[in-house]
Amino acid sequence: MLEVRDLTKRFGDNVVLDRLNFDIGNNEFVSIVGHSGCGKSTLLNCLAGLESFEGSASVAGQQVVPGRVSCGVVFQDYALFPWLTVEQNVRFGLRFTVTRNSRREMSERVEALLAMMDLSDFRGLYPRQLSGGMRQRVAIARSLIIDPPVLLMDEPFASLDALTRRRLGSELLNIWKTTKKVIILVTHSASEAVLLSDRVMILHGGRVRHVEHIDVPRPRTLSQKIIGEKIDFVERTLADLQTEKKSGLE
Amino acid sequence: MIGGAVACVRGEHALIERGGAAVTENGRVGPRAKRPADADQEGTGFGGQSDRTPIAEPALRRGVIRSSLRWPSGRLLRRMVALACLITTWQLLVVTGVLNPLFVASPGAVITEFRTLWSSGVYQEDLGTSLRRVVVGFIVGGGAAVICGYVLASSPLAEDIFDWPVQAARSISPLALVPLTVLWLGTGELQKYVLIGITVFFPVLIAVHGAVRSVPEEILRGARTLNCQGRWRTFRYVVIPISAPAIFNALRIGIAMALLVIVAAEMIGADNGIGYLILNSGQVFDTPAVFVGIVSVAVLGTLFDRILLLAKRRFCRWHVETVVG
Repeated sequence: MLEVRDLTKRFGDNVVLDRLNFDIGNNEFVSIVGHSGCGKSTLLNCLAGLESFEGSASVAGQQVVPGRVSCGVVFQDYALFPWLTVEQNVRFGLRFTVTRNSRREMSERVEALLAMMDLSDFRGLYPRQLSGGMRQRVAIARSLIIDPPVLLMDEPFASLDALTRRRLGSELLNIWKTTKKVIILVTHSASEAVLLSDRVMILHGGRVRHVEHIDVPRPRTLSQKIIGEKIDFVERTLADLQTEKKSGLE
Repeated sequence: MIGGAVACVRGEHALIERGGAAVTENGRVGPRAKRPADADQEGTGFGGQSDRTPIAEPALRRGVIRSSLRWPSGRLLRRMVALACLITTWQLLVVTGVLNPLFVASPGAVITEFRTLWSSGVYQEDLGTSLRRVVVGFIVGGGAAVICGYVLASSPLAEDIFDWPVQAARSISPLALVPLTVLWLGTGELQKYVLIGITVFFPVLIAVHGAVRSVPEEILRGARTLNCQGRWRTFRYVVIPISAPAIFNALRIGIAMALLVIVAAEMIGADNGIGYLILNSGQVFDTPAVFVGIVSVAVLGTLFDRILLLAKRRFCRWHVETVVG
């Protein structure tokens, strides 16, 4: 579904992403973890077509080209349109889709998404009237309306409280199972990554330094020993990489 | 599952992978062939608990943000009482001689004079003339400023060319332009329209430019991810709606300045209008008529401001005016 070949991103002399190569298959849930400044968000921006890059990337067989949308994107700061209601925000992307379905089909799609994200009762509200968790639901629904094959999520739960993070994490898994999309989640949280994903890619210094497969059936819980070990391993690896960087061994 | 680390050297960096071989022949990291079957049950979530927890997520924010559509009756009452007190105090100060009625007409005298002017038809003619000049100049100047503001904000070349001249020109008092515009255009209606237009143009231009430049980057980025790309689409569906409240505020400033200038312009080069009424009445010590003119301008200004404010609230329902404190 997603193929990345020698993806490199530079800002001036600074190489933020260094010849990344990886594949992500259909219906995979992959998390990318790493310290601040390792290039996680930049990678997502490149895959979303928001940044130019060297190398190549393709989504569902189509080359990712800057300026052409290939993935749905959910940002940490929601990026909702304050002048539009919940329903209008969700509906926004339909206006610019190449494939024009009938009005009825589009409306049905909007209704289905609102229902899936538990937003039907709030459709007439503006983003300022919603809590952080509700805003993130709207952001997710809005990104799904264009039916992207891949959903990129850049620390979507970072600014939410622990309980809301947990709830939305569960709902995200349900969405993933229902829609069968590829989800790439950028997160600082090793536990979040391990609990949600099939694979956890550890990014450091613009490179994929480690990939941890989470071969544990869902539902996963923190009380499971294997999950705890995986989380510990990811955190230790991140810490080791950070120490490596500080000591200049990189 | 293959335990331990499988080192795969590709290029200049090593890729370490645990938890099973998923490195393809040419060394790329790929997906696992098969994923352990997940339990097919509702409510998968962290900690294995159902996400249908009884704790309701707060859906609505509570805070001091106030809807701009509500008009609390307590506030209206306070404003009316304050105005009544002001007028009463004014009347008392004149009637008791604290203020000389030759120089300050009482509210009663102003109302009487207003009736006289109204019945003679003079007031309506002067008011209508001033109104026409203000409205035409405002529409032309304000409209041009909105368009130019958007162009200036979106074109680095236009900004490089016009920024300094605009900054210099907006520092010039519109009143200083009165003799010049009379020289160029005479004392006819065109001179008034141009003067009002120039007066309104610069403050609205600066405000529009600032509003467009202040569109949050995350909003633009969000729009791009939804295929809203290209300059025109972005303007129409993002920039214009989000900058609308600031544009309305700029227009409110513009209309106030327009009224300011029209009075002065009519004092210098006109034989009708509210400014002419004020000047002419002052020259013959008809203080009540002077106050009729002044109060008319004040009422007009308030009226225009309210109209624009209502329009802003109608078209920008989403916008909240926060109250500090």
